[in-house]
Amino acid sequence: MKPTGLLFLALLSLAPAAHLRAAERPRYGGSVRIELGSSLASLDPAAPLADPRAVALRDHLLLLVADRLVRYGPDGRVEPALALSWTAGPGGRTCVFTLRPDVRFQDGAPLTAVAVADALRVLHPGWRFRAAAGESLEIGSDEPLPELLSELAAPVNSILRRASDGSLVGTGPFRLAEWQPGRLARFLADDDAWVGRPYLDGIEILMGRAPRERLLDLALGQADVVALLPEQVRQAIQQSMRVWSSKASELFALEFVHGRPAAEDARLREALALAVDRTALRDVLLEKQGASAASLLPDWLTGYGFVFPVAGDQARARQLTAEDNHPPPLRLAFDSSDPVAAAIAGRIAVDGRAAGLVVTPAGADPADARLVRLGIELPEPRPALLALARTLGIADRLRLPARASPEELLAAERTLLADDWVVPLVDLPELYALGPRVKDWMASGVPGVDGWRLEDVWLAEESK
Amino acid sequence: VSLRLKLLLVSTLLVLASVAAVAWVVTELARRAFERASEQHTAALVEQFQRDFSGRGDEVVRRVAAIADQESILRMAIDVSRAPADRALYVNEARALAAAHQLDFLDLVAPDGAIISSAGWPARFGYKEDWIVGDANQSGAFLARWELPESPAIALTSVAAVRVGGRSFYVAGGLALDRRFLASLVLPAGMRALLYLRLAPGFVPTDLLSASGFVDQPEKLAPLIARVEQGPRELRAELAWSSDPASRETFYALPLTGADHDLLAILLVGSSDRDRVLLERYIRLVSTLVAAGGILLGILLSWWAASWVSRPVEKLVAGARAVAAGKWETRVELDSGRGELSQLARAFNQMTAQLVEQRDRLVQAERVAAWRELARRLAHELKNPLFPLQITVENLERARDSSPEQFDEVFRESTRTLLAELENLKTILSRFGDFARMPAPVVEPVDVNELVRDALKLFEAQFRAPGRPAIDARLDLDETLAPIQADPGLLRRALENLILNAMDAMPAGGDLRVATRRKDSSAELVVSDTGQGLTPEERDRLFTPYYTSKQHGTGLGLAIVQSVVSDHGGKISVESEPGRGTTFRIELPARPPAGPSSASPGRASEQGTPAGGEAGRSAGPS
Repeated sequence: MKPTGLLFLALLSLAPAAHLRAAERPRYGGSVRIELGSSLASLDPAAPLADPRAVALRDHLLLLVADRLVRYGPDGRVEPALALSWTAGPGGRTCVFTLRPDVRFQDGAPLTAVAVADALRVLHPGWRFRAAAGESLEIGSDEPLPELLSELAAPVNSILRRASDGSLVGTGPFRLAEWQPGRLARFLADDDAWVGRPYLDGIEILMGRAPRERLLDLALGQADVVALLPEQVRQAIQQSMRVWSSKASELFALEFVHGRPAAEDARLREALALAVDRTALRDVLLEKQGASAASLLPDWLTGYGFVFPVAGDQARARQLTAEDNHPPPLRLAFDSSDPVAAAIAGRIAVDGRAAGLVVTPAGADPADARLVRLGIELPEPRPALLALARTLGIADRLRLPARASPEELLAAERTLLADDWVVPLVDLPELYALGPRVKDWMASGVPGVDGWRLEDVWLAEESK
Repeated sequence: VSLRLKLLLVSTLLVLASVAAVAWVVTELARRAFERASEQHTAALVEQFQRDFSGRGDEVVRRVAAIADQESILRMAIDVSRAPADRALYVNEARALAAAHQLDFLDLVAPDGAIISSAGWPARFGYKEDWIVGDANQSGAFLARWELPESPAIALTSVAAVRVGGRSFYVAGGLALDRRFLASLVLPAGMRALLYLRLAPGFVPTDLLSASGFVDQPEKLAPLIARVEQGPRELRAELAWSSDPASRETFYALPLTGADHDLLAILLVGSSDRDRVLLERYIRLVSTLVAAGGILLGILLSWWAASWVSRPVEKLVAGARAVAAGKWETRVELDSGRGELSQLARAFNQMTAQLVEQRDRLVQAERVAAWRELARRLAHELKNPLFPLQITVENLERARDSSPEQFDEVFRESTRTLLAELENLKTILSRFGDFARMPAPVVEPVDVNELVRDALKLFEAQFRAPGRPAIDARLDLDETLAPIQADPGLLRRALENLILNAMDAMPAGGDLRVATRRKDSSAELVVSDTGQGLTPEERDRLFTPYYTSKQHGTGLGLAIVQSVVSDHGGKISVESEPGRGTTFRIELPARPPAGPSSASPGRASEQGTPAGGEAGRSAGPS
């Protein structure tokens, strides 16, 4: 072979390598399309939400357009965000935050202590706000605020303001460009974001999409990121899709309704708690994408989850049912729009019937028990447990010191779970399938910590 | 009841009976025809059901076999057979397979009977279905009960085994027995099919299905279902859904059993009686109209027939009534003809003519007899005074011839005797004259009690006359008796005649009782004696003029009494038996009818009885 021929071959062999290197480097541009099953009517953090899936979605979207005063770092500690520093006052009743300078909202308005106070006052009418010199803000209360920083680190406390056209603007890397309640949210990159311009030009989020459609769209390249049901994970993997899961961020639990005849039957509650086969829930219904749970907080958060036995005891359950002598039928309500909840409710009914109980899944109240989906919103055990207890309406039974030890947390949780009024079943993570052009998906996977982090994501070039 | 009415009733009954008979026959024939048709339809439907049932069973067997033969099932069986097996991989397998093969239920079952995947109840994975393993050897389809989240279901089921490494996996699939199944049955008009799924003990109304949904008043079928459950056996029953007979429906119940012959469902084939009842109503309506027309026609016919038949009869009846009323000359005039009624009319006229003729002859005979009796009486009465007259005259002649010296003395004596006897002859003649001259009553208020007392006073001396056995007279008067309108003279004369009659009846003495009574608006006068009494023959002729059983009576006394009573519009009766005395009862109205006074003279003259005569002593045969 001639030397020119050899040179041509050498250059030809180098070409794919050069192309590969260029593809792996982050690049600006492109718009990512995310399809989700949950939907959201309003981005306004002050709007009350009952569905934890909607709460989680709003948290993700808020973190795209706004920042909090403080945030949780990867190590679970609170770190500065819009507030550079903070100083707690005497008795823990006040805290003075020093705001990051030169931060502007997406409509160009500067971030001031007054603007922060206005944003938070809507959410916390019981707090006192005092702005000073435009850069520092004192937040106070008549009662001590031991969880103030944790509270402020929650996505719901993102700092937003109403622009002159009525739209919500924040200081985040993306600004809201279009909002179709419950269907579509479109975001555009903010070139002036204080954290720097994100790689992506835009984000399009389709809400309320059916599971099958989501996976199909991803396979056809019409979506880049889709939320997965646990039962779809195996299929996605079989289709060579990248699957990402967070830490357990939701808890499915049985909540008995006080005052209902069946729920007031302690034997029945215990029998049903023992009858449920959590392993079957995890291994079969969730296809091993979750974890059996007998505690309110997930094991990754507390480290003591194993103390709570997850194994059921059908024999004991049948014995209790027999002792109960014809226990009343139990109507179990669940969110009929939630396929995971429907599957779990169906299995609970089967397990209950095997124990001699008549459990009837029902899509709506009145119910003797409800299958509830509880969001783990914070990466700290104490505030997370408090939030759960508040959601369940049993916060009055929770006795926790300000700086509770793991033992104290364990004891508190046992107290909450005594008498089987609440029966934890399974922890569930967030599950997404990623398209091939999505690069540097670096979501923390820890609830309350940075969400999707789409500011770091970039899209590979389409192959010609 | 008149002949016309009888004819009407007969014709109406005939029309009604014939129409009712025709209606009954037609209704009965229609009912039997409907019943036969219903039975045939039911049998056809049951046969169709069994054919469909069998066909569907074959279809289920085929579909389940097709699933069992699939490569994916074999791979699943192999995969699950390996250790450690992850059965969770196949938990949703059955749903897709069931949808692809159009099965309502599909369970994939491991050799140990544990469900790997269930299309009907996905959450039941891991639980055992022993009946599937037990029924795996069933060659064809069978009915089985499938457990579902909300309630069990009954399905036509087939089980197929998949052999892997000496172990059997099972594919059990089924088609539900539900409304869709009922809707697929082709039903004749007026028939329907219901399905009772026996899912729980006792009758559950919501488990009774029809093709269109739930059944109204399902509890009405509960007794039939309960009877089938006791068998189980095929039964037939008739139900009424309301008080309307058209709502009746005949049900044929067919028990549907499972592989273990346990009763799982009941097919109820209903055949409505509506058409039959409507036809029966139509027949009844037509029959009623025909009957009404027939009755109307019957009325017209009976009217015409009655006119044709009953008018001569009515004329005959009127003629007979006239004859009964004494108008013996009555004739019935009918059209001349040879019919029975014309013959009857002619016979009637002939009869009345003969009656008149015989009456006239009888009157003539009676008149002759009366004259003979009168002559006999007159001869007898006149003979008594004439004989002394003759003796006296003969004594005068003998005295004048034999002893003229005593002639004057004899002449004086004979003259007295002759005068006395002549006076006696005058008295006899005046009695006869009095009877002939009975006057018409002149009424005025009369106190009957007072009249009785006065009359008895007159006879008191005679009751106690010396040389004669005493008669004990007794009064029994009703003091509440009101005065009546009567002729006091005639009434007193009648009473005196009765008292005289009683006295004559008691020659050996006795008791005389005179009583008065108020009887409604009438007054009753009773005169009783304790004499010899009357024979029946004497009693019958008692009031006949000139009849007497006494030696010296004229036979006019009781005739006068009867005449007086009759002229006052009253009634007289006599009760007597030989040896027990006689009682006369006179009933007088408070006011006599108009014109009573004319009756007596008319009758007297009609009978041609000569006037005269004192009755008191001539009557009284007792």
